[in-house]
Amino acid sequence: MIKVEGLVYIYEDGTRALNGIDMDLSKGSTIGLIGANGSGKSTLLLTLMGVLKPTKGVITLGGLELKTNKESLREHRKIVNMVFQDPDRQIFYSRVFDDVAFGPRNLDMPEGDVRRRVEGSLNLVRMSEHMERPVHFLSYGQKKRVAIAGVLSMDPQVIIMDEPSSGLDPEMRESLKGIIDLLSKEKTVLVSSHDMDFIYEVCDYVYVLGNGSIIGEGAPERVFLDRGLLTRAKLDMPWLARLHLDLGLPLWKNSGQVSKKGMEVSE
Amino acid sequence: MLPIDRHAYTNKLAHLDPGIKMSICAGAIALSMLLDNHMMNGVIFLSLFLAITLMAGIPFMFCLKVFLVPTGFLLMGFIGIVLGISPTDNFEWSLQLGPYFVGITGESLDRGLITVSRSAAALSATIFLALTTSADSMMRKVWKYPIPKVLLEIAILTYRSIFIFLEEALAIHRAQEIRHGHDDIMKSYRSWSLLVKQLFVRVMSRYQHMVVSMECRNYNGQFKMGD
Repeated sequence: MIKVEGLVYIYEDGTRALNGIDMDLSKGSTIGLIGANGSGKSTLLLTLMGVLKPTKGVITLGGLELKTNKESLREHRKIVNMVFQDPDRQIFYSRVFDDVAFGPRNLDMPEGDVRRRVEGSLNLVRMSEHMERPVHFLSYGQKKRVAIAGVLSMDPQVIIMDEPSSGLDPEMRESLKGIIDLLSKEKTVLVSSHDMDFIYEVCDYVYVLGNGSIIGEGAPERVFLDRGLLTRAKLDMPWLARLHLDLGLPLWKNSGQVSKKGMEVSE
Repeated sequence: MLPIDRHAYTNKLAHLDPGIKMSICAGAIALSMLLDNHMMNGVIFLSLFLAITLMAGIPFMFCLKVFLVPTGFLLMGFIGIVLGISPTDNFEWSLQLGPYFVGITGESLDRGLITVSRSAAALSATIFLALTTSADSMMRKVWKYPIPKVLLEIAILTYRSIFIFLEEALAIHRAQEIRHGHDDIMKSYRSWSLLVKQLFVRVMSRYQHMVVSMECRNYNGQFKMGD
């Protein structure tokens, strides 16, 4: 699994974006990464992908250190991959099928395998019926799903998602939770987001980033009830946590449980 | 932000009137053109290099990297001017290759030195300007002169667009890279062509958004720069 030890990243202009980060991605199957703008989230994700080379520190995958030579990175990216926030920056072909096939084709897979993978990935994100369609006919949410499929088709063991819920309507957001839930059964998903409610409901372990350092970590039930920690991180408390802390209501894990309770109460 | 641009905004000479810096640049170039002396050109080059590193405070290693870019061309040019091929050995130093002699004469060496030193001096002047003066401040200065406004508007918009394109291109390249799009040269070529196509599509889309936003802000065909 992925471990990060003592990660430091200093930009060319001297900005110390990451200040000695330690992380262990085997602590959960859906891991959340939260932090204010400028806390170092994007930098951290890019170093995990090998796009940025750390100034100090070590990233290990299954015990082996991630080196920045082409071969290492190629192997690394078969196991770890990332969905970026903006779908338009990661969809290159005009046809959905071709774009999702980009990764597998670059791995020189036979066309039969490529087709199987593309169909499987599009199925997972519920975009199968758009397989032959031009990308510019898709809505924002649909494009986001195609972007996810484009990474899934490479079948990575670890999937990083940068702000996956941003710009999505409520229905799409729910659908995304379902997708992440399904993926986390066999893979590790790392979700970076500002959407506290989303992270709270979807993740089973959370890292809190503040000013380039990990200032807190743990189960969502612990991290999100820590007012001091959230304030220091310049973040907010998820609503379900607030209901519990401020109004004494039970700590529900997701909105589904709240609806269920609501129905019981009205009976 | 591009490093060159960042230095242009944050160096120690950034607040000096752009007119002065542009005059230094133009003056140095004119001097190097008029003088036929490679020693003087060397002096011009050295003084401007010192101005960049000591006066403007721009890191030595970075300067070196910037100068390295045109050095390749200078070197090729130098070799081209200095070396001659002839069936007879008219050279001061030469090598025989088959029926021909390849060599250097005193005259060609002189010409080579003048050309290289002149180019180096002119280069240092241009790099001095580029590293110490932001495009922004230069355009504001030039705005007041009788130059067709259309040209300046194009310059301003191009300048802004460069950063937008670079940002988009970098993001697209990264996304391609992690999906093995640049694992070998053939894949890289294809990915680059996809990137260019994608950039073009994005440009058109951005243009449309920009027009809407400009019209909302009552754009009437003029980019005003203020006084």
